[in-house]
Amino acid sequence: MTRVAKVGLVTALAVGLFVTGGIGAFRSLGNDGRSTTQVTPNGTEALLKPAVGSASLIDEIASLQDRLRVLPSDWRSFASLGLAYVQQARVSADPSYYPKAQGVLQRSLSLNDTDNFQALVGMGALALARHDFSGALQWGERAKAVNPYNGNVYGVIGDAQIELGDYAAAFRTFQTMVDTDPSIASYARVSYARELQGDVAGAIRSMTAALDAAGSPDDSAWASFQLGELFFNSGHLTKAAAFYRRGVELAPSYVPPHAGLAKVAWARGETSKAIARYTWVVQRYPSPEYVIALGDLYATNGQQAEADQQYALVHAEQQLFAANGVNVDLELALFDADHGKPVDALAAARAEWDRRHSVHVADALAWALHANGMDAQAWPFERQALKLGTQNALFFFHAGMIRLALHAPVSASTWLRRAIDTNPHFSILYAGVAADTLAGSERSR
Amino acid sequence: MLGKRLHKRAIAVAATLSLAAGLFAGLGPLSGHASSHREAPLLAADPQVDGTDLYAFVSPDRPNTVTIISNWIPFQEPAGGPNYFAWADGVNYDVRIDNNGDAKADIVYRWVFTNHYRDANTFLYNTGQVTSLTDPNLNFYQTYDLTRIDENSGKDTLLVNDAKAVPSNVGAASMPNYNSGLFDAGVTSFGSAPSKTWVGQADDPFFLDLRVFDLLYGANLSEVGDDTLAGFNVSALALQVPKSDLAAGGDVNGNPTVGIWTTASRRSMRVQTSTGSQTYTGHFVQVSRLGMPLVNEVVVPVGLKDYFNGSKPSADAQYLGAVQDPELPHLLNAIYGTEVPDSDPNTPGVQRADLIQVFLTGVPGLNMPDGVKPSEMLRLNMSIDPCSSACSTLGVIGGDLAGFPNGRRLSDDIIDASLRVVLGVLLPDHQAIADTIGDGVNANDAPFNSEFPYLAYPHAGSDPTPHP
Amino acid sequence: MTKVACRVLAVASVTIAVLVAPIAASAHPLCNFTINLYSGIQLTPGEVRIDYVVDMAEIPTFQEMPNIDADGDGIASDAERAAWAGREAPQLLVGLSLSVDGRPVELRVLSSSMRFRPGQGGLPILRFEATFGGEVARVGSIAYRDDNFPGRIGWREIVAAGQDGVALRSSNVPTQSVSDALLSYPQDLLSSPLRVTSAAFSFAPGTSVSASGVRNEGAVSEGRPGVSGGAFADLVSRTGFPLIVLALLLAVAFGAVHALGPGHGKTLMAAYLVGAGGRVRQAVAVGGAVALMHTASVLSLGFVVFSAERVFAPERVYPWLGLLSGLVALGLGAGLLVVRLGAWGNARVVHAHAHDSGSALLPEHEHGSEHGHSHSVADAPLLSRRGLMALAIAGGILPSPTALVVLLASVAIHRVVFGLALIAAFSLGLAAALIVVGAIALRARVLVSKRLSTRAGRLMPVLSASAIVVVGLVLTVQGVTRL
Repeated sequence: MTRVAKVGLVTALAVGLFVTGGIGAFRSLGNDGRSTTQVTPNGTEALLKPAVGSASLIDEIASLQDRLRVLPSDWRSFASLGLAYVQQARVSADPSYYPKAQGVLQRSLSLNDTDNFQALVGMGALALARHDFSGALQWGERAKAVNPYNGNVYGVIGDAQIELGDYAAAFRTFQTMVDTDPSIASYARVSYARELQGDVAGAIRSMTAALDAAGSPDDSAWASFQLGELFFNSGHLTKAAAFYRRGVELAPSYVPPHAGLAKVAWARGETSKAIARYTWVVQRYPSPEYVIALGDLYATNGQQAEADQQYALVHAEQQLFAANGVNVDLELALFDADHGKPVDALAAARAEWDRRHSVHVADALAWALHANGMDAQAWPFERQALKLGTQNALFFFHAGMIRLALHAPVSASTWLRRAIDTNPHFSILYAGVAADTLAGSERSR
Repeated sequence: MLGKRLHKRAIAVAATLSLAAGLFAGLGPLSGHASSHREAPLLAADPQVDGTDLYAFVSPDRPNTVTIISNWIPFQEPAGGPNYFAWADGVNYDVRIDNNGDAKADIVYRWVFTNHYRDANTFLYNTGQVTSLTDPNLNFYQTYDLTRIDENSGKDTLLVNDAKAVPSNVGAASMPNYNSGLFDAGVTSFGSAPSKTWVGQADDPFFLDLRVFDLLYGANLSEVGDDTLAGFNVSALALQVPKSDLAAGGDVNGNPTVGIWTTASRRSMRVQTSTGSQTYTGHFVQVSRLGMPLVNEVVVPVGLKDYFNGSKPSADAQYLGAVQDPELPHLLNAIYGTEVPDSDPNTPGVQRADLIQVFLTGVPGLNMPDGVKPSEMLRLNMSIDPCSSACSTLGVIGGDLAGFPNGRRLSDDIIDASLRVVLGVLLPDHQAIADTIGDGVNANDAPFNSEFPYLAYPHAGSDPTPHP
Repeated sequence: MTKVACRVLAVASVTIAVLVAPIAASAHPLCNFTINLYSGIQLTPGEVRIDYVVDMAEIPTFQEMPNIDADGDGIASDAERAAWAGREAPQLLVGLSLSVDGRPVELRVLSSSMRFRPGQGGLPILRFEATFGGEVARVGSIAYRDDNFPGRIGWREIVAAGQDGVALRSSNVPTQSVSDALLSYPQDLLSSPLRVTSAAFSFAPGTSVSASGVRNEGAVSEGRPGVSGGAFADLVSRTGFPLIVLALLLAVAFGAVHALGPGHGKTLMAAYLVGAGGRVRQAVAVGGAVALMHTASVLSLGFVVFSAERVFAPERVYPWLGLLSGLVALGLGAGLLVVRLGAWGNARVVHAHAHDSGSALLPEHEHGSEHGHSHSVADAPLLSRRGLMALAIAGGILPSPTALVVLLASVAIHRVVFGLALIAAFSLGLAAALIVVGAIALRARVLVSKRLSTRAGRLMPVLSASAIVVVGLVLTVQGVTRL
């Protein structure tokens, strides 16, 4: 080694040690105890305005994230964070939370897989959110084996059973749930069970109890919206509007009550107001349900070009579903049946029926068969859809149209009458059709 | 300061989640499947039936009476979230008393609330300045009925009808004289002695550094010493009745010890209505139970916490194992190498006669009733007068028999006392650390009042920095 | 968030399907409707520029398409894209507000462009890029807000950096994008999508921190001494003779490693020795003193902890000790600086004279170096007892939390002697490492000073004293901020 090289080496070493000492001091100055990770500048609260979602949930998530950076073996907080991520994905419709949820829940389970029912419930909730109902059922059963005294365990199991069409089991599960833990979560499920069985008044009472038991403005907004839906679907516009408005007041960034108000505006004949509201909703959250509603509004208002734009968007969303390996959703099957793609609709509905036998799948399959002119095959499925006695005006309308196509006008009139009596505003596209058809068939008699 | 507040909230939130069995709020989905897939909240927070602490002590200023306070709805951020922390409408909030040691309630005091809106068209809490409990500007208010139930005779006595609950302190602008006009005015007297009740919001009297529990997750304990609950409010039910109202047969000298616990019950409902006769409501289901402090955190295993909340003391014998050999000393041992105490080293396995006395039977000669059936409740020997000198926040282990675990006073340092008891301070030849271990928080952040309900005034919603 | 998240999501669904369920899980592809915004603020003297990016996912892109495809032929031509970008830029500018010292700054569109990138399902995704600019003074405080697309889900990111001699201060946003300006979104389980819609900072002429600044890689909080002892703390629970020997050896190693970590007076010691022209023997003395002080400090803190009521709060002492160590270093440095500045001044005056002009100040043992010192000009007194003490305090009084844990643990499990032995071994390692560091520093000084002019060589003691002052200052500030 030359002398110069030696000098350089030793100098570098000395300088290096000096600098590391210095940096150490400076770094700990700028980083006193709290993480200053740039991805989440939690210290700068004012910067983090939740655009969508509830402030409290965002607070909780931030708190848990902070905590877990310091306590990376806290399996309970990991489980809680996983559940919070699932909720946040639903509230904000930002699915980048789903893989995060899965990651932290698996982390929680890897830290404790013996009595960690919270994480098992979380995995169940995640599976439900992803429409993996069989998976959800399995996670729920695992959680129940650990802790059969927790109400949420039955929530996961019952929700999965409902979607899979196993109603008797689902109702039993919900009964156990509410007997184990009467709360907003179980009252809301009792409400849905009653609604499915056609007990609308009972459903409203249970949902009112759920609203009373809500522990946060977010939960109150959710229950208010559900009450709005129950009233709207049974033809009570004024009450529906009141509860939608209450939902908006309680959680202004929660989109569904806004869509509810748009629907009310349409039902009251205030078409331009309805279009404006739906446009606002679709800009914030272009879920197919709302895009279709806006398209149908344009179509029934004679604005076919605008309607076609929205329908094109629905098709684009279908493309995206397909690109993500997602089976076409039930709503989209009905959309296809209603918008000139009966073959696709039937394929989608049949595929779904192979997976699960819920009343909604039965109805969609029946309607898809009807759209393909296969009414004789359609009717048994429509009867399956009606088997629980659900007071669903759209089901009644589908039944009426299928009976009409089967040349049973009296029966058809009865069903159409029931549809209109249940809710004269049951569908943007078909409420008018139902009334006209009924008037026509009664004239022709 | 903002960072500090956030940090404290973070601890509080995380603590709520992980200690209270990890339940929290959330919305249902923005469902694109409104008709086919209804997603209801799965894990909804239920703070209204979350009983946090129970206190029972001989009233220092009226030593012929006993004061019982039960706290609910934890972690109330004075300026945050919903600024009114309401009681649950239609829930039975009970204080239950066993006065003969048979692990069954003999007397129940029950508060039941009703919501009122003066103007049903607005959900606003107040529509202007509120200076009294009857102020018309208080748009939303709650009233309660207090009933005494004699479980042995089945006789119910309505003690208080439609009394007003003290509202939450939303801030100085809306409630300029909160402490005198609303808080103090909330005391309702009844009976001849007289007895008193008070229902409202108060500073959370529990003081501790919740992070001591983080040691279970390998936390850095060098940070403890900070009252996690400082600056948070809580909702409280307070009751002051003559000792003779509680003692079996009214005989305070003969039956001085009572066991006390609190429960909340909500109504179930029927899912199926196939009979045609539509029964909407079902039986009351107990969803919360609390007696001794820290039982849920220290004694009851994770998987049994939900079970415990729905259980009765008479079935508590099954916890003997958990009390006999609780998890906490083992965790402390694993992390700090402290000894796992054993009250009887000659018997195989860990024996904790001392813990069984503290948590399940009462301490002989102090607060153990004759022929007691082991059951978890807060036991108070009413014949022991309030301390006048030699008071110790450590209660009995500090040489002060009028304090925890003989009942519990607002000022008792539960964490220090419990940690020491768990590490064996009541055993002879205990390890040295059992005399000193603690969380570094030894007093509440706000001063207690000297008269019923004794609780400290709540932090106002207008306080920009409630957490010191 | 757009593409990356969707892909992760898809992969995740497949995984979960394989793991738990025979049927395919259905993921919501709703991430396809985010609108993501990025502002990169750059300050150059007299000018502010904002690199603005809008990254639209498939659905908003689709929704925007009728506005882009002006002639309705289903194709967005180059001209149509440029026209759209030209129309869009001023509109987006309306949603931005930037003010200096409370006065709004008028921003202009400097450039704008838009292009499509392939998205999912054969759909395009839109990327809009624009540069906005405005004039600012050379000093001021900036407040910036981005109010575009309120209520839309998506990433919101703001970064700010100075260039060409503009320094930013007290900025609440980072200098570098974590998403590479919306081209790759980070995936971290413990962080939420970024949602920063405003920024505030002040700027002035100074050293620019380039935008490629250090990224804080999810730093776990540190800085506070903790009980998290790690491997060294585990040693105390070892048993058996070979294990004990191994443990002691490991403790030496840990001590050495600890000494090489940040802090611990290395810098101080090196600076002192270099400035004072010390030799290896002095390095040994200083290293040993620091190690001894450290051992004493650990033991006394341990004693305090056990005698005091509070088992859990030893950390209360740390900031005070840190402050003490800082003040001592500050005092030492300041003292040396005064002496050496004086000596330096003298030396300049007497430069024409022989090298021994300052030798009267030197202790007698300074002479006799085999290398024939050429630096013995105006050196400060070397290693008086007081200096040694000061160095030991500054470098060693802050006890290593790890060592403290070892002590506490050993007491807790009744193995005090072993614990003490471990701490002694730890200190030994510490001392050895410090000595080596000192020796290296000295060697470096000798070699360097040979290459330097005598003037520069004479400056070295002054510089090193200044370095001690700086380190002392840092330690003091650090101690104060932690109190």
